[in-house]
Amino acid sequence: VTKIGDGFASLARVRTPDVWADALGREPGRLPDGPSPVGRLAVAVLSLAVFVGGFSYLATTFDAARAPGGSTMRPPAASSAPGWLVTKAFDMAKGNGDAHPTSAQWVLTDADTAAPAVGLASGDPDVREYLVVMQGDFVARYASVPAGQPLPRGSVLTFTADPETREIRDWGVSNSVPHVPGLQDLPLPTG
Amino acid sequence: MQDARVDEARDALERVYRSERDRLWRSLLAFSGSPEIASDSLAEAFAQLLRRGDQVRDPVRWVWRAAFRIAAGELKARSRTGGAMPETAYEMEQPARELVAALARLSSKQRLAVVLHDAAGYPAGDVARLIGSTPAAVRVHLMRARRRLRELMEEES
Repeated sequence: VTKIGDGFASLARVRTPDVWADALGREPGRLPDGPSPVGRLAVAVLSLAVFVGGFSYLATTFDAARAPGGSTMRPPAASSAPGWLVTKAFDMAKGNGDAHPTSAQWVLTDADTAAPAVGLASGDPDVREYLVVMQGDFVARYASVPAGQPLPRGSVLTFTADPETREIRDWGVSNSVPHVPGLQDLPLPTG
Repeated sequence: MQDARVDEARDALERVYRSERDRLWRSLLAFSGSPEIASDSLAEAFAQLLRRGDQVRDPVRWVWRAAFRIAAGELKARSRTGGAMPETAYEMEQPARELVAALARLSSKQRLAVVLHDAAGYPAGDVARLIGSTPAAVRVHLMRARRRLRELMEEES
């Protein structure tokens, strides 16, 4: 451990070059691609196979152990949004002026696909995130604006959320409805 | 007016550069084993950030992620083309050289996790967000990486 610690301490003393002039002067290329579509597909197929296999095993095990008349174990619906996302969407809608949006939709996608929906030019295609799109009459009460400036208003409230930490990554209010593949209805609580 | 806004945006990004440069460059060096890749990835990431300007909401997180993707891409390209092996003798003390050599023998994910956590000082949750993983997976990579590093550095001595 000491050797590793010494290594990092020694690394922290290495002189660093100044490349700011290089950054200013160069014509930027493009970010390298993430995993290839074929690679991603292979991972998705493998994940699905593992899930189906695991689920079949569990279903068989539970079925064998089930008492007569007991309930049958059902898989979670693949198209249902997680409960925390529903709660977060409702809180966002209510907190920004419309607790009863006329529509709400969600999709689990990647940060690059979701980026334009929340006003960003691009995102990381390797990072998964939830995108929620709601239509209603919103006032961006959670937005920070300079003193004296009106809060942004709009008919569309969008936000992205981290599937792991459940934190909101980006959000915005606009009048533009984003078209993102895979969006499906998100049932919000009526309360 | 337009020029003033451009200057202001550039100044803001230069402040980001000045605050992140040392930590980011050293982390890239530890990850790639090459001062040349570290410098090029750092410059390219900031060139791309400058082009995107205020479209990027979190420039620090963005530039870290971009720089490591660029460095990983360059390492991959070099391994494909059989390019020169990264050099590790760049005005470094012996402990740093040994560490960089040992890091080069870890898997890419383990190396990335340990560099971002132990060299850059990011907590596991932030490392997970930077590399698009989960904190639990990052902790597993860290545990395995440190165990392997210990073995490699003991072998070396």
